[in-house]
Amino acid sequence: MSTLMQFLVYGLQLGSVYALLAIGYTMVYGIVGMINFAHGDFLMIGALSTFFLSQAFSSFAVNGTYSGLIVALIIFVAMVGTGLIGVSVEAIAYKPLRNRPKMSALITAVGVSMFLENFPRALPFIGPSPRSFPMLFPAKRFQIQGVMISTTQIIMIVLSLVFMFILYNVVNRTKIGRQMRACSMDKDAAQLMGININRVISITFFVGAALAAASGIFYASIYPQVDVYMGGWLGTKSFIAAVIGGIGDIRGAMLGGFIMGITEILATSVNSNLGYAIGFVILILILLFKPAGIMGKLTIDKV
Amino acid sequence: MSILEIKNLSIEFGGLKAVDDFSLSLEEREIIAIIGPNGAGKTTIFNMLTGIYAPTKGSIELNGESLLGLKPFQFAQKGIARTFQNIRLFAASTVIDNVKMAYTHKSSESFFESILRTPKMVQEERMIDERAIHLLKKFDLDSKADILAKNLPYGAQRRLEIVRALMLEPKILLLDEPVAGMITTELDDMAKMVRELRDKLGLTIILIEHHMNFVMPIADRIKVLNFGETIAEGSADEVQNNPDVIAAYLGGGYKNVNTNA
Repeated sequence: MSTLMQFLVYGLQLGSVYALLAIGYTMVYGIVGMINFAHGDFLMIGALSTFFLSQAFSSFAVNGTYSGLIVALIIFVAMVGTGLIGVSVEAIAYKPLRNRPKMSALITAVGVSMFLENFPRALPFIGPSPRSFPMLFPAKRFQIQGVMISTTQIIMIVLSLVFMFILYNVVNRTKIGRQMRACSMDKDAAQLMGININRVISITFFVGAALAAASGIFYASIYPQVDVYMGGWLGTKSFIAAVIGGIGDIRGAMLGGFIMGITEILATSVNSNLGYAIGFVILILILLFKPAGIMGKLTIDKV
Repeated sequence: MSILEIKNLSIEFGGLKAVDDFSLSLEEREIIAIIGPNGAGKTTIFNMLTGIYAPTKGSIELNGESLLGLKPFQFAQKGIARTFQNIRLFAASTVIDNVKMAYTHKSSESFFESILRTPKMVQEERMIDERAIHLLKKFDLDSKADILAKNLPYGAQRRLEIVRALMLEPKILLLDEPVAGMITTELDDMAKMVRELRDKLGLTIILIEHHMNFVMPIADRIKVLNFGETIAEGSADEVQNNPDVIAAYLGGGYKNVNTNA
């Protein structure tokens, strides 16, 4: 039993990474109607920029650990910075294609992803080599009824739940949330109701990329190695999580993320190779039996 | 002074003149109807008046200020609101959210205030809630506030579209076939509602409609369009007896509608 609980803790930890990343896929799909294949790379940008920021702040570190305030500042700057990169990616690469066939934006997204991975790789001060990620969170461990849990895990899980709670509130109970929902349902009607859809789309990309940065910081805190390609595989799995939950639905993305994380850890505990495959197995099952995802509703387009 | 001044508005789509030299000077609290056969360019005029199409020629001035070159959301913010021929509510949202979605331009809530839920922001949300409820009450929709818009009956959806447009606090309201698909009793309710919009809220209204029983009694002035050109203009009586209008639109067997109803 305590072994199972132990796996559940690992599963929640990995799940919070997937969930935060999946939210970005689902929000962009819900509002712009495109799948941003470069979204995983925002995670990489978040993690890498945190690495460099912590280096810049290294004089504040005592014995290799940072004070809570400095860590909060680093995370905040990394999230806002990545958010702004997300906004510029949209403005430069996707906005000109908004009224073109969907396929153009999709292919552009693949190109943007390649660019975001290989441009930093070509920069001399970043390069392709992996770096070890600094310890941002204290590494104290507790044992509760035979289950080992670290402060890093607690902070990660709690913070990501806080982020999701805030996001859910923003989307459902604020002005920008109403604008987002209006745009996701009918962009033309939304602008005729006085909503500046360009601004709404920019903010959507900002939020998605900032949450991806948080997810990257959390991921690198468990598996402390960062490189320019780390976003690819994680992005794919989070995209699957978003589809499992029902793409376009934020609650679905959160749920899908945790389902992916927990099943992956459980499957890995049986056989380490199974962990990679299980996500796809769930995806196939979901697509067979509930094609719109767990939370999604199947809509039939009028012909 | 006229509130809306439209001069020589024209638009071409690849050589086809969809609207040619349309002029209109609207007084405050006037109800103007635009009628004409399908394809005459009526909805195209609405699309130019809301910034969706940029006219090839002509001018649109609201209270003396030119609106040309503005984006659709800016037209809405300046005070021109509209409803749609085929209902376009935010179907998957509740009735009250639909209304609140049209009030975002008047709210000063910033993104970070929304994240932090500051007292000021919470207060503003409460104010918006109250406004929305107040408006829904006026048009008998408050009991349905938490129903999804797509689950409302057809007539109520049409009313909700108007209430949503009112939430923008417009000066001018454009109604695109407000009674399309409605039965006779609903027609009378809608006529009453349109009059109230003018009398109680002081709105200036332009409407497009094919139901002559609806248009003739409530319109102060009627413009008749055919193939993008204005073929007649005047009171209901003048228009109904105009031979050009009868030939192009009303048809030979048309009986006059009693306008004193």
